[in-house]
Amino acid sequence: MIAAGAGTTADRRRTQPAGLSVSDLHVRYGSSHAVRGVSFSVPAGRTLALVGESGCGKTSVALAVSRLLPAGATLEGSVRVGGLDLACAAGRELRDARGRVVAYMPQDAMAALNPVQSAGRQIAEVLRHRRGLGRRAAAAGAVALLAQVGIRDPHTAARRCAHELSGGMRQRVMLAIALAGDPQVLVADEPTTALDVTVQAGILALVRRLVAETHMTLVWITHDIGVVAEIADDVAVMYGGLIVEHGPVREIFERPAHPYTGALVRSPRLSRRAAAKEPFDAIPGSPPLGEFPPGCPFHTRCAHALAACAERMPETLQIADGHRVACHLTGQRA
Amino acid sequence: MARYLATRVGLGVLTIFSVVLLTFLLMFVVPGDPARAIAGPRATPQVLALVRANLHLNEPVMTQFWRYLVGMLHGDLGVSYIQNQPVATLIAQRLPATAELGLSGLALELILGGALGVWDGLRPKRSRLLAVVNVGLLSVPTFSLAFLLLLAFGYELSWFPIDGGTGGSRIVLPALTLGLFGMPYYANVVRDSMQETLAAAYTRTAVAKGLSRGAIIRRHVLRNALSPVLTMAGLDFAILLSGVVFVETVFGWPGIGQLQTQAFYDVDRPVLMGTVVVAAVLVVIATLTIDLLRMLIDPRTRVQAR
Amino acid sequence: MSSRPRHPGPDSPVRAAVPLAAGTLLGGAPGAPEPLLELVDVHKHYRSVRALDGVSLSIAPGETLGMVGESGCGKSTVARLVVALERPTSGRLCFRGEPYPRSTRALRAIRRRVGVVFQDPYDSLDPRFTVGQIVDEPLRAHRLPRGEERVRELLADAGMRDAELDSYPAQYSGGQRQRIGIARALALEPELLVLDEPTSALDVSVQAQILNLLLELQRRRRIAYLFISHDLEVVRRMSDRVAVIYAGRIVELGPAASITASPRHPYTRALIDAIPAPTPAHRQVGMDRPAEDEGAAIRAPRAIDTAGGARASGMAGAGRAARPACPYAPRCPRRTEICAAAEPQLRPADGRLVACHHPLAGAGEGPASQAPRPLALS
Repeated sequence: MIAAGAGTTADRRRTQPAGLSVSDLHVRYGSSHAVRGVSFSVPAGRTLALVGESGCGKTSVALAVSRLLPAGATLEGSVRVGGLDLACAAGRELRDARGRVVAYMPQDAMAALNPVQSAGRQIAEVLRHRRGLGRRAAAAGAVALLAQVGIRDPHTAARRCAHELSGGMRQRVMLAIALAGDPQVLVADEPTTALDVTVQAGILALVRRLVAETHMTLVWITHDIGVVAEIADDVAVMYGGLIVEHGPVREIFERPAHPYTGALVRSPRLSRRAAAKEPFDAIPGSPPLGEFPPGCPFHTRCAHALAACAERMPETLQIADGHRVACHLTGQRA
Repeated sequence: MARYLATRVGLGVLTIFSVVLLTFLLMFVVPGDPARAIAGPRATPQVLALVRANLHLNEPVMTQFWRYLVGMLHGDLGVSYIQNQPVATLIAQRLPATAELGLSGLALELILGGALGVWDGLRPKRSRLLAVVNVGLLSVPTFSLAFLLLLAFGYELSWFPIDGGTGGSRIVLPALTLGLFGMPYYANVVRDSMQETLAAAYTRTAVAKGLSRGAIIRRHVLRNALSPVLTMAGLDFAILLSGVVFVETVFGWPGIGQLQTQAFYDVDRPVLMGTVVVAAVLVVIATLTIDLLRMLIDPRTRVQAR
Repeated sequence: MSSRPRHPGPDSPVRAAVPLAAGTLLGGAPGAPEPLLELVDVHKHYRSVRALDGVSLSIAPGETLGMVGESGCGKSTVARLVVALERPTSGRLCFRGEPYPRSTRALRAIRRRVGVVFQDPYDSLDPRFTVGQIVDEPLRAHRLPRGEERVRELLADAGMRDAELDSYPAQYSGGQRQRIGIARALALEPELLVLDEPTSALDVSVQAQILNLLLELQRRRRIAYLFISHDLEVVRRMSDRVAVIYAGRIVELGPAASITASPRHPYTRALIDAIPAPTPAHRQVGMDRPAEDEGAAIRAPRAIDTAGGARASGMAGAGRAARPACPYAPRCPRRTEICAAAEPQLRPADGRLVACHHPLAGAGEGPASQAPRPLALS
């Protein structure tokens, strides 16, 4: 997956691109049921944006797919990449799959880097572990990866510790660590949420380029619908521990089927038509945290709620090619 | 950086000065008449007056203090009332023995406590062993522990000599007392630190790389989890020294602590003052050294020093 | 803070020796009423960091001035100075023409007329206080009429009509807590409300609610807002005029619509370009912008940090020589020698003020010569 232009001294393997297939995923933290039956697929080389607000379960999905859930959390369902079901993997097989089959990029890069080791060393560790490189070759490979993720002075950056780097650079280091393992699937968990908008733009452009070059399968978690528009091929919208809508990005933006998706797509940022001081499109209430109402999780805030919405969970129906939605209103519309 | 060091050294000097002043003033509260102690119980009032004049005991307190301070800066800590030798000599003679005991004790408590803390830290719940150690050792005062060990292993079982002095296996029980006394302190903190480090995001990153459990613990967890130990040792140093005093007295270990205890009974003020001054200097030096070591090990603390 | 009120005269170092026409741009339409709030050449230095480097602006009664910039630019410092939590290193702030007083006691008068709402709803409410106590506290401190009725009225105005006065902040969501914070800020009936990123910590679907509440409150009570945010789109929709701030200085200041439709300062342009696409159709396919120049300097170049120069000599002033004259120059594709030599002043251009030696000419021009993202309001 390391792009041809990397010029790394490490041997360049091209792993076969593979897609991700998640089926009936449940995640529980004790009595709290955070992910309540999530299924989606990402074809090889495509980018899926998983979008939702706090409490919707998107981070739990990301951690579950990467097999990085904290101790005490339980996972049910299947997570398939190529021929391997990560959800069942354990021991050596699981360790072997980490970083190679699926890699994880967290939101808080500062906390995710070892505070007493240099950036270069942390990247080189992956190269030594996965490719058996010696110390010097791995160090050189780390510098090459830093250059590839767009850092202008990679030699100096490699010697720095996390607290000596800016936010954007730290996130690029995390990307380098993920790429060093040559993963088939990359799960990026809101990596640009805490960054300035100009820094975010740079990283989005970088990721787009890398995905185009390496045909990596990418799952990008975000709450920012604008980022979705920038980066996604497909979109899965999460609310209340469930996927409420899933489809190609253009479909989602032009013909959102679920009322929540509609609200997201009309968020303040995107309504450039509106004049100054005109009221914003707002839906009442706030996203549920922890406790979910019976039936459709969105019904308490939905302007179009029916009686059925409070009683039963809606089924997921296909409304167009590749476009699915879970909403009682689907059958009702003309 | 230099400014930071200068500030720390300055504060250290101020600390030593304050300790000396406070102790000096306390000396005058302690009952006992040194003149009588020196001259003997049958001395006449004239002899007593002569002794007092010699020792400048009739002068105002602050003058005596000033006299002492000046002497101290010249390395002259006075002369023992009882043994008629310079205090500095007495202390210097006994310093090696105390150093041997103190360092052995420190090493034992760090190793025992650290090992238990790391082992226990890898378990989600506190082990029974740690609980027993906490209840058993944490609440026992040093001298009780010392006497217990002396009684059990020295007297009853005769595994170790109980005649006082140094040499051979005589170091074992005293050092063990100190080690066991400080062990639960380190064990608990290391355990908590291990738990915190294991839950850290960077440990998760290491797991995500697919490293083996051993590699994760060695390379990412241990160093971060153990770094507080250094700071703690610095804070603990003063307590260690006071423990040394008890242990030396109980086991007859001929160090500065034993000297100090005897001087207390004899109201041998110069010796008392001298030992306190030396202890204060040692604590300040130890704290400063720990700080420097910490800056070496953890790059983040270097930034704060600016 | 200056010890005597300084009036800008011909020899005054005050940078706002700006022509009168531009002065009105600083303060709104000509013939406008006396400005509510005025900052005149305000500097704020911390040990080696120059957080604000000569900021001048004014807010008219009832208007919203938006302030936008990225992290470290100084916008939160402006908020703290306006609310009198800190004093400027030099320059002055005036409320209705009167300089901010020096004594803490006299500052209470300012606090009555300038309210503040902070970013973090989880941090800005004391968890030990009940909701009723939180809203009541300012009334008590300023000896205003209190009582349950008044507190309920304030909470109702903030959309929390049904809140129990005995409840605690922990029982509420982020959006609800922010409403409580707003109710508290309104208790003293301020003439100016400083809003420091009031919705940034909230979920997207909740942000719109709070922004609508703020708009309505302004309509009803004619409060002026200083609306600070990193989100240019939200700022545009909430504000009459916008100040773009970079490295402690205002680089562009003018009507919200024109600044965002046709920016003149390269940084404003960069901010607009960086906003993610509104729809997939607007995505700039294949355009890989080079990694932000932040990668060029290893130490996070919050351009306001002159630590390199200042720390070496231990004097804040020494940093002056070390830094480039235009703070944006290191990142600017349009820079030339003059940008490193002479500091650009705020000058009028096309209905707004710009501080740039090479301002952009028109709506179509972009610094990186890429096809610009259409930002027209249609």
